[in-house]
Amino acid sequence: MSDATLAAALAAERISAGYHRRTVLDDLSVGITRGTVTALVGPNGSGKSTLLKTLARLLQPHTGTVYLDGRAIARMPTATVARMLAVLPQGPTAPAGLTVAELVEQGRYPHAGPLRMLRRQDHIAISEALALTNTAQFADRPVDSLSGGERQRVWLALALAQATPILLLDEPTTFLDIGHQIEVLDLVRSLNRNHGKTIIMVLHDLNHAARYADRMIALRTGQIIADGPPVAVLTPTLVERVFGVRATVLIDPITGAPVCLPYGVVSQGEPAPC
Amino acid sequence: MIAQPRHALRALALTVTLLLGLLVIGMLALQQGTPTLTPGQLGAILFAGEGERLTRIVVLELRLPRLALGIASGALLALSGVILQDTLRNPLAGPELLGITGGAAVIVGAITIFRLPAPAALVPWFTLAGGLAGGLVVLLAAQSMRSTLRLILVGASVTAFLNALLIGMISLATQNDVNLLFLFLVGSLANRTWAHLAIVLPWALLGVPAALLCARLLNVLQLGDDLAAGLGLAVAPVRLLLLVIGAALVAAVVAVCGPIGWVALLAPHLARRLLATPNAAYVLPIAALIGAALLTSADLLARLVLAPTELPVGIWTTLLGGPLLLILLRSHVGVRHE
Amino acid sequence: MNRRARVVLASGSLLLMVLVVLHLGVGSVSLTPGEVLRAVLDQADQPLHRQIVWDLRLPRAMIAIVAGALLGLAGALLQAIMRNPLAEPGLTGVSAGGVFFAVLWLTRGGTMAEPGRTLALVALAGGLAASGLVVLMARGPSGNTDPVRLVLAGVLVSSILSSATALVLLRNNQALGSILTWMIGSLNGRVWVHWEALWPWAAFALPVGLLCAGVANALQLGDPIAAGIGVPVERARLALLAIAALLAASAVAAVGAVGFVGLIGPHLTRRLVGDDARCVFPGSAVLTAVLLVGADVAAQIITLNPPFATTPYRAGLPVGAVTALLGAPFFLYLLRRSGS
Repeated sequence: MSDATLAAALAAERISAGYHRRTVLDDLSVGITRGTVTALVGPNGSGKSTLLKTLARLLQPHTGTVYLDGRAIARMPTATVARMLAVLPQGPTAPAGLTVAELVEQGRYPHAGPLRMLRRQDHIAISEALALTNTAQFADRPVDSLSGGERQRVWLALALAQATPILLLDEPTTFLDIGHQIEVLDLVRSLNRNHGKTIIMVLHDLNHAARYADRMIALRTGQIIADGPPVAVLTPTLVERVFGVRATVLIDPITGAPVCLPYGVVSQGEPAPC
Repeated sequence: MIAQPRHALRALALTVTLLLGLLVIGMLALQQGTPTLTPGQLGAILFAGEGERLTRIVVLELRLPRLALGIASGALLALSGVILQDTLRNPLAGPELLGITGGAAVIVGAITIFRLPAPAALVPWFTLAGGLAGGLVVLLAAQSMRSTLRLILVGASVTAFLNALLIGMISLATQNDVNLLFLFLVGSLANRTWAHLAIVLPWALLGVPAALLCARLLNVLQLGDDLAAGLGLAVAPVRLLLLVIGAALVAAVVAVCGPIGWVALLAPHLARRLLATPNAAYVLPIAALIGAALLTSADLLARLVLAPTELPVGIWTTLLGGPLLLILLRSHVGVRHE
Repeated sequence: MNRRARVVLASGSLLLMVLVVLHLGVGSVSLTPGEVLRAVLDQADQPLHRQIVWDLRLPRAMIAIVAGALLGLAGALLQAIMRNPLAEPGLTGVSAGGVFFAVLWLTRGGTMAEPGRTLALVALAGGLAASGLVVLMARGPSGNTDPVRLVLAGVLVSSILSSATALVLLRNNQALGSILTWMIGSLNGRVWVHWEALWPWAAFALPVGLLCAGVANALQLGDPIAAGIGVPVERARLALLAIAALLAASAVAAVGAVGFVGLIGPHLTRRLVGDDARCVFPGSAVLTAVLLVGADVAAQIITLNPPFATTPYRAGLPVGAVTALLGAPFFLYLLRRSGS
C-alpha cells in the first residue's frame, strides 16, 4: 500500500471490476483526498458508475483492493463501512406512501441496527439531516408527492442521516430539470464547504462537474484519461479524446470555471488529434 | 421525535376497530351453528362452567379451538405475505404464488397417502422443508425477483407441477383418503381441535414476534438493494433469512389446515391501503389482525352458509379473496410492473 | 423463414413420423415398424393388425399429433402476447374451465364412455367461458389488459375453478376415478369418435393461429412501438388471446388438461429458432406434437412394464403423468440457466 493510499480517505489500488464476467475497469488506481469534491465523468460505458460502486463496496473487484481510511474495505464489517461512507445510487425509488421522515429515518440503520429503538442521538441526526437539506417542512408528507428536486434533497437527507464523512453520489442530477439540478448541486457544495464532507459524484454534465468539483476524473473504456482540477481537465483536446466531440472551452465570467461548448462530432476515419 | 401523528393515530384506530371486529366475529363463531346460543348462554358456558354437557363440548371442544386456530392461522398467513412482498419488493409475492404453499401441501399429501410415520407435532418441520424447497425453486428459476411477470409465471408453473404431483398421489390413494386429501387441496378448518391448535401454537408464539421484529429490515430492503447495502445491510443473507421466516410462518398452517389461499396475498394490501403507508412497523401488526379477521369470517361463512353441509374455508378465501385482490390491484399493478 | 427454422421444422417432422410409427407399434399387441407400415398401407400381415392399427391406434396417434400442435401453437401465441417465454396455455384459464364444466356435466349423469363428442363440447365451452372471464377480470381501469394483470387473472380464475371443481367432486366422488385421469390429461381410449369431435376445430384454429404470426411479431416489440406501426394493440391482443384460448380449449376438450407441453415446446422452439413468430409458430406446433406423441409412447411403455407392483392405471398410464414429470427437468434447466 502506497503512502498516498494510506493518506487518502478512499482509494482504489490496481482494481479490475465489472459485472458477471465482463470487465469494465482494468488495473485502475485512484486516491480520493479528504475534504474534496471529486467528479467522475465520461461517456456511457466508460466505467464511472462501476468505479463509484466499487469504491462504495457495492461491487467486489475481480482483482486489486479498495482502501477506506487506509484499511482494506473488503475486510471491514458492513456496518462499520456504512458508518464511514454513504451511497446514493442512481434513480432511487421510495415505496409508495412512505413519508419523508420515515424515509430519512432509515439512514440511522447502521447506527441503530435492526432491532434497537431510535435513541436521542438518532433523532438529532435525523433533524439535522432534514435541516441541512431544507426538507424539515416536508417531514410528514409522502415522498412521492414532492417535486423532483425536493425528492432528491430528501434522498440526500437519508444519506446525511447516516452521519458519514464520505458521500458517494451516482448521477444525483440526471432526470432533474435544470432548476432542481442547481438546487441539488448547491446543496452538495455547501455540504463540502460548510461541513467538510468528502464527496465523490458521477456526473453526466461536464459543465456542472467543472463548476462544482475540486477535481475531475475523466474515464473512457475503463481507463482514467485525465485527472486534475477542472481547468486542467476540461480542455478541447480532452473533450475530443474522451467524448469524440469537438468543443470550444471558455471560462465562465461569473464562476471562473471552464465551460464546454460542443459544436460537432468527430467522424470515424479522422485521425484522433492525440 | 419527528412526530408522525397521522400514521400512528390511524394505526391505533385500525387496531381498535379490528380487535372489536374480531371480538364480534368470535362471538358469532361461538354462538352460531347447531345449536345456536344466546350471548347469555355463551357467557354461562365460558365463564360460569354451566350449560348442558353436549353444548359445552360443542362450544369448548369444537368451536373454540377452531376459532383460535382461525385467528392464529390468519395472522401467520398475513405476516408471511407482508414479509415476502416486502423482501422481494413485489406486490404479488405470496406463499401460494411462490410455490411455498404448494411444496408444503405435497409433503402433507405424501405423509397422508403413503402413511409415512411422522408424528403429528413434527409434521410442520417437514412441510417447512417442502415449502422452502418449492419457494427456492421458484425464486432461483425466476432469477430476477423484481420482474413480477416472470415471478408469477414461474410460480404458476411450479405450483402446477406440484399440483400434478398431488393429483398423482391422490390417484394412488384409497377412496377414504381421497376425501381427506381434497380437503387438503383446498384448505379447511373443519374438525380441528385443541390437538391441532397445539401443533400450530408454538410456531405462532415464536413466529409472530419474530415477524414483527423484522420491520426495520423490511423497511430498509424496500429502498432497493444498493441503498440497503450502502446502509450496512448484508442484503443476500438477510433476504434468505426473511424468506425462510416467511416460509416458516405458513409451514404449520399448511400442515394442519392445508393450503388456504389468498389471505396471505390480500391482508398486506388491505393493510397498506388502510394505513396509507408501506412502513412495515405498522403494516405487520395491522395485516396480522386483518388476516385473522378475514380467515375467521371466511370460516364462519364456510360453516353457516350451506348449513348443515360445510364448505371448506379455502374455497371461500379463493372465491372472495381472489377477486377482491384483483380489484385492489387494478390501479396498482398496471403502474408498477415492468 | 430462416435456415435454422427450416432445419428444425424438417427434423422435427421427421422425428414426428418416427415417433408415430413407434406409437402405432406399442401396446398390448406389439408390432414392429414393418408390420405397422404394412397395416397402414392396407397390406397387413393379419386382419388383427389392421384392426388394431386402424381402429385403435391410428386415431389415438392422430389426436396426439393434433392436440400437441394445438397446445404448441397456443403456447407460442401466449408467449408472444405476454412477451415472456414462460407463458403457457393454462394461463388462459382454459384447462381449469374445461375440467370444471366436464366435472359438472359428469356429475349430472354424463359418462365418459358416451360418444366423446358431448364431453368435448362441454369442455370446450367451459374453457372458452373461463378465458372470457379471465379477460374480463384482467381489464384495467382504462380498459386495457397488460400481461401482468392477465397472468394474475389467469391464476386467479384457474384457482377459483379448481376449488369449485374440488368442491363438486367432494360431494360426488363416484365421478372421481374417471375424472382424475382427465384432469391430468390422457389419450386412453381415444378413437375415431373423438377425432371427429376434434378435427373441425383444429382445421379452423391452426391455420388462423399460424396466420397471426405477423401481428404477434409486432406485439412483441412492445405496446408503444406496435401502436406506432399501426397495430390496434388492445384489439390485437384480445384477438390473439381468443385464438390461443380456442386452440387450447380444443386440445383440452380432446385429451384433458395435459400440462407442461404447451410451455416446454414453445420455449424450446424459441431457443432453437429465435423470436420471429413466423418461425416459432410452426416450429412450436411440430415440436410440441413431438413431445406429446413421445410422452404417450413413454406412457404406454411404462404401462406395459410397470415399475410398481400395483398400478391403479390398469387402463394405461395417462400421458399427462409423463408430461407432468417433464416439469422437473424443465425447472432444473431453468435453474441452471439462472446460475450462469
